[in-house]
Amino acid sequence: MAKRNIIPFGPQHPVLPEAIHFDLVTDDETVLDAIPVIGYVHRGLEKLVEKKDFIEYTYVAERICGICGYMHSFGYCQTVEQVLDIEVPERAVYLRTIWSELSRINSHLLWLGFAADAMGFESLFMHTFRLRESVLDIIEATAGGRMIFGCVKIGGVRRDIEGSVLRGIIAKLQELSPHIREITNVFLEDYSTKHRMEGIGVISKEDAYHMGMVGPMIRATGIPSDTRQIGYAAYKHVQFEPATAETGDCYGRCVVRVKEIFQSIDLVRQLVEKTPDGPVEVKVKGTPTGEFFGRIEQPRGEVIYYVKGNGTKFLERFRVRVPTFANLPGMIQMLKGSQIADVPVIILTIDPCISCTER
Amino acid sequence: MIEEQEMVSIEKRDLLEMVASLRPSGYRLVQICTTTLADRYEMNYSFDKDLKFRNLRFTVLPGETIPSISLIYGNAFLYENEIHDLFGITIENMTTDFHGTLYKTRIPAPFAVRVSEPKESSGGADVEEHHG
Amino acid sequence: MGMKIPRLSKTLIKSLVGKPATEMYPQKKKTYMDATRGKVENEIERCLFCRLCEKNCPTKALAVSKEKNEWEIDSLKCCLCRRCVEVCPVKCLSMDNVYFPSVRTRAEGKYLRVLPAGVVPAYQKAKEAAVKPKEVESEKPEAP
Repeated sequence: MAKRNIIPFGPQHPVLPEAIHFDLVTDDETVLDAIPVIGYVHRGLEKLVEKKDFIEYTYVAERICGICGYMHSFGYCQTVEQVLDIEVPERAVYLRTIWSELSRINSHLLWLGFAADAMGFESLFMHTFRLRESVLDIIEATAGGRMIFGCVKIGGVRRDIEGSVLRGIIAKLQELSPHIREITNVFLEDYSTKHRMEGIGVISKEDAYHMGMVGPMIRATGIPSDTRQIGYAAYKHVQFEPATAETGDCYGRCVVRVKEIFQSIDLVRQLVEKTPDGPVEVKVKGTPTGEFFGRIEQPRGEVIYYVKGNGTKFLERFRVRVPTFANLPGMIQMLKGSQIADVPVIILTIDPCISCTER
Repeated sequence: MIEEQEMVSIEKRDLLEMVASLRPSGYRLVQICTTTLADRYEMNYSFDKDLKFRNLRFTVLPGETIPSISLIYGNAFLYENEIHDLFGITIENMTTDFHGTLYKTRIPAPFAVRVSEPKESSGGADVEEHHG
Repeated sequence: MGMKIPRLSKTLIKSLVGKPATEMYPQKKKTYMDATRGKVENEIERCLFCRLCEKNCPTKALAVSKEKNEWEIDSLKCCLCRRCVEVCPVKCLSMDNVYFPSVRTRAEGKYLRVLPAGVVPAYQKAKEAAVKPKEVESEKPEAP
C-alpha cells in the first residue's frame, strides 16, 4: 500500500538561487502534485512609482533583479520612450543591443553553471564560472559595473564605447568561443549529464503553448517563437533564426541555451560591424501621457512592461510580467509524475528568477 | 511605434465569450493587469498570436466580482490570485484558489482604491498613515 | 571497453599544471577597470553648495548645507549610480574606480567634507568676479 507524504521543498535549498517554496505531494517516490508558495521576496516595487518620478525610476527598475537587471532598465526606458514619443539616436540603439546580447551570454553561462551544480558536477560548475568571469570583465570595462550595468537612461545611454573597444570585444569573444565550446560539449555529450537530463520534465507542444510558456521552454518543444523577431532596438538590422530543439525535455532546453550563447556571440559581431557614429543621447522634455505595452526578449523569455502616464511626473501604473511568472504553471504540470530526485533539475531548467517574479 | 497594438474595449459580461472565442483561434494568454484609477479599476487582458498583440479592456467598480477565465486558459489562476491579493477584487470560480495567501503583505490590499483620501498628495503618503 | 579520453582533458591538464584562476584577495590587491563606478569624492573648493546632487540622489545619501559649507555622503546608502556626478553644474564631483572601504559601524560610513576656514567658497568668488568688471569699466573713461 503506497504511502502519501507531503514533502516541503525550499525556501532554503542548495540548488535554488532564490527563495521559493513547494509542497510536493508524493506517493512513495513519485510526485503527484506541487503547490507553490511565493512571496518571500515581495518588495512592492510597483507601488514605488508613486514616490519616484519616471526618470529616477530607471534606477529602481534596474535593481528589480540581479541577473536580469540590465534588461529591466532597457525595457523600461524603451517603453517610456514610446509613450513620450521620442526618437533615440541610432548609435545609442546599437550600443543598447550590444549590451543586451552580452547580458544574455552572461545569463546563459550562469544557468549552465547552476545546472551542473544541481546535477552534482561541481568541477564543471567552477569551469563554467571561470569562463563567465571573462564576460563580466568585458561588461565592467564598458558599462562600469559587473551586475548592475547602470548605462541606460531615458533618451539614450549614459556612456559611449569607442570603436577600438568594440573591436576588442569581438576579439575577446572569439578567443573565448573554443573554450565555451569545450565546456558545453560536456553538457551535451557526456553520458552522466545526458542521463540526468534526457526524458526528464517532458512537456508537449500544445500544453506548452496553451499554458503560456515563453523563452527557451517553448523553443525546446519545437515552436520558433522569439520576441526579438518583432524588430525592436537594432534587431531589425541583423540576421538570426530562433534556436529550437525537438524533444521538449530538460536536455532540449540545455541545447537551446547553448545554441543561443553562440548565436549571441555572432550577433555581437554583426552589430559591431554596423554600429554608426553619432550622438548617444537626446534631451527628454515633457511628461508621459498615454500607455504602451513594451515587449522584449530576456534570456529567460518574453517580458512585458506596461507603462501608463497621466501627464504628471509620477507614472500612474508600471507593471512587469516576467517570464518566470509565465512559466510557473507549466512547470507545475511538468513536476507531476516525476521522481523526487529529479525535482531540483526540473525546477532549475525554467531558470527561475524569483526576485523578478515577485518584484 | 515599434509594433501596432490592438486595444479593444469590452463590457464585463462579454469577457468569457470573447476569451472562449480566442482560444481556438490560437491566441495565448500573455498577462492580466489591473490599474487603479481614481474610483474604479481598469482590467487589461492581453493575448498574443504570432507576435500580433491584442488587448481586452474593461472597468469594474470596487465591490464587483469578475468571472475567472482559468477554465479556458489554465495559467490564468496565478494572475488572478495576484490581483485578488494586491487589489482586493473578488474573482469567482478560480481553478486553484489560494484564498489570499499568495503574497503576504502587512496591509491587506495595498493597491486598492482608497475611497476616503483626506489629502490630494501621492498615494505613498497614505501608505505611511496606515503604518502609523 | 577501451580507455575513453575524458572530454575535459585539455582543461583538466591546464588546471593541473597552470596557476589557479582565482586571486588571493585580500593579500593581493584587486585592480579595477578604468570605467568602474566606485566612491564619490568632492573638490570642496569648487563646490557651489547648490544642492542639485542632494535633490537628485535616488537613495538620499547626500546631505549638503550652504550655511555651514558642508557636504556629506553616507557611503552605506550610496548605490553607485553616478547621477550626482552627471548633474553637478561645475563638475566638482568625481567618481574614483575604487569602492568605498568597508566599515564596522554606520557612523564610520559617513564622509563629511567641510570647507576649511579662511578659504573663500566658490559661489562667493563667482559673485565677486561678476561685480568687478563693472568697477573697472566705470574707471576707464576717467583715465585718459
